Amino acid sequence: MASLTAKQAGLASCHVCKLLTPLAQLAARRGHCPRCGSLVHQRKTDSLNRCWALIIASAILYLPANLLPMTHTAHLGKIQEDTIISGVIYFLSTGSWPIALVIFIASIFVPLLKLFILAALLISVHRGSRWRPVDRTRLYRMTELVGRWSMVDIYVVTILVALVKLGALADIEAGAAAPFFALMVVLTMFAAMAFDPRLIWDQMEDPRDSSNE
Amino acid sequence: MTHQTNNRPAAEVLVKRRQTPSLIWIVPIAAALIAAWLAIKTINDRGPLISIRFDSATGLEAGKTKIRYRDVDIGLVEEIRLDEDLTHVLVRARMDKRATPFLTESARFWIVRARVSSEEVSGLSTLFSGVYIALAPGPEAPVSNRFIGLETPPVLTGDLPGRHFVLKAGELGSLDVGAPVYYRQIQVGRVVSYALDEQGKNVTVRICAVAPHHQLVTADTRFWNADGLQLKTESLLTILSGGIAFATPELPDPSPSAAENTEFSLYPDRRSSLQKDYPLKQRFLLHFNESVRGLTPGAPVEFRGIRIGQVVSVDLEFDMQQQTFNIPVVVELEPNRIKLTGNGQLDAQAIIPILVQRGLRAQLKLVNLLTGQLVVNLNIYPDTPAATIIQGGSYPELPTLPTPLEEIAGTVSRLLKKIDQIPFSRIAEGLEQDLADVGSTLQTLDATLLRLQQLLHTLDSEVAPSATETIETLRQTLQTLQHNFAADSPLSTEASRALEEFSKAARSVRDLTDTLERHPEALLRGKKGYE
Repeated sequence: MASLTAKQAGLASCHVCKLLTPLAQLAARRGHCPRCGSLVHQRKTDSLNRCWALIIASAILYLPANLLPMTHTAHLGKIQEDTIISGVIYFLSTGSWPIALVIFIASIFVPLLKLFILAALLISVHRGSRWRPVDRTRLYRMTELVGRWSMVDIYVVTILVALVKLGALADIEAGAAAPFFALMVVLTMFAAMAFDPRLIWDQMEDPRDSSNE
Repeated sequence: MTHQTNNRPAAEVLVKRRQTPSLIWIVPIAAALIAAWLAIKTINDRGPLISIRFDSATGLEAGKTKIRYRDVDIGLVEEIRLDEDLTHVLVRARMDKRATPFLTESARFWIVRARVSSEEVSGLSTLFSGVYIALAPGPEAPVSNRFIGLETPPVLTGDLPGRHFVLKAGELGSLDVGAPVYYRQIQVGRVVSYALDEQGKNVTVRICAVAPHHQLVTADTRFWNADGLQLKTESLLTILSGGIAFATPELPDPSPSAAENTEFSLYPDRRSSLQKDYPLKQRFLLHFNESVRGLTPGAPVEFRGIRIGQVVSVDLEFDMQQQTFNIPVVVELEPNRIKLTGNGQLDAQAIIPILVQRGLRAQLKLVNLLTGQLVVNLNIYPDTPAATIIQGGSYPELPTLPTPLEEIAGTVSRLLKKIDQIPFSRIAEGLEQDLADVGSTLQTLDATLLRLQQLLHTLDSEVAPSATETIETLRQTLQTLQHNFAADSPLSTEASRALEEFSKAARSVRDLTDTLERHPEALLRGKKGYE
């Protein structure tokens, strides 16, 4: 790890235009990027706090999102309320296991996995862990990438609600869980964005820094 | 490296260290508040958990079947399992908090399914939506969470304005819960329930008359079973499904409308319901020593020809001590059939004993000579030795008089004597003589006929040939005549000439007479002077 980091070089990268600016120059411009004028930080501001707060909020919202019914289906007078997991069980019992698998992965497994990964990353940063930083960064990338796919469930519900309006024959309405679920997914995405993966690498640099000096 | 370290202080100026916690923590706090509010609301709204016992769980689904009151969901079936002894199904349901006041011991639960009966078709919507459990709250009762579900939907009348009445019937007929109650062939109520008496002797039928028709039921109202095919059927429906009809006889002083749960008798048909009903019945025992042939249970008991009761039973007893036969006849008297007039208080029950003191006696009376039908006749015989009602047996015993058999016998013997007096022998003699006369007449007739026959024979053999001859001669004569008088015969020509001459002569005579009429003197003077 012979490379020099921008932080070590006394440089800060603009979040917007990625321009590397020396800290002295930034100080002269009251912390604003000389090129695009946005505020420049060496690391994402308050990254750990924000990430934690959003993760906890998502974890709390994860409960109503899964316990409350996601859809109200009225079919020939038969009213059925399905939570996410009951929908999965329904598809599984009717033999459509690919659909069940998609719903399970997108709506239950991925959000939960994201929460756990982010929490684990945060804890590792707090503890100053130096364990497999490349893999941890890869994990982070994955969470950020896959996060938006959790909205699949919300999309399906909104499309169904809009499409199936057959009055007494069949009618689908979004359940109470839908807004909680959407909020939960959005918050986990924000949490992933709030996390600064460079913090993983800072741990790798700091000891060498100290040893160097 | 030093280049960078030189720049560091400048960087530190820029970094703001917050002392207060970041505002971002508002997000998880808000989420926690929302979640807590949801949890509290859910727990608060959760009503009691109840269990209902059903015979079977046809169509019920855990987690789906709703409990409804007036088609509003007030609960959800959470679990369906078998009773410990496997004879019933226990349905556990989570009720709404709103439903808590209904969950008393008097609440009734039943499964609503599609039902098709002769009266109505109900629950068709459950064909699509699946069955549900209906709840009918009952009157005030202690709170309960264990219920026994009904197998058939009850007739809901508890919340209808109206009145319930209790009918006692000998048998149920084809009545069913929900069967209609008619007044003047308009349905005014329904049968709510029925049950056997504790002794099993009667059927108690509860009906509900819906307002405002409940006011039609008064103490005098008669109810009858309108089921089956009758001369006057209330409605076609009652033939199939049974029904009750009632009417109130028009009385000069109508009673007020009957109170809730008043008891009435349910008569088997309209006719019997219209007969006067005398609730007070007194049973008495009568002992007759003579034959009671023709006396049957149900035979009337009459007082001077007016029915005041009926025979209940006629038995035969053998007294082993006295080696005698007894015929105890139990009669049922309705003392209220005797109208009381005049002043004074007299209990209806006391009428018969008083009458016995005055000489009331029972007697068998033949009412039909042909069938030998007997009735019990009561009458007052002031001359008979005093007697009282003998108490002690199963029923008080009324004194009896022997049947006036002599009277019957006398009548019969008189009849026989009259028959005897008829002079059958003389009638026979006369008849014989007449017959002999007829015989001689017949002989004479025979001879006459013989002679007639001979005459005919003579006619046949002698007269007939000569007659033929005569006819032949006549025919020839006629032929000759025809020949002579033919148109071209000389006779005819001469005849016509003669007739001409005759007509000429006739004309001359007429001229002569004319002349003579005008000039009668011409007879003397001739006609020359008048030319």
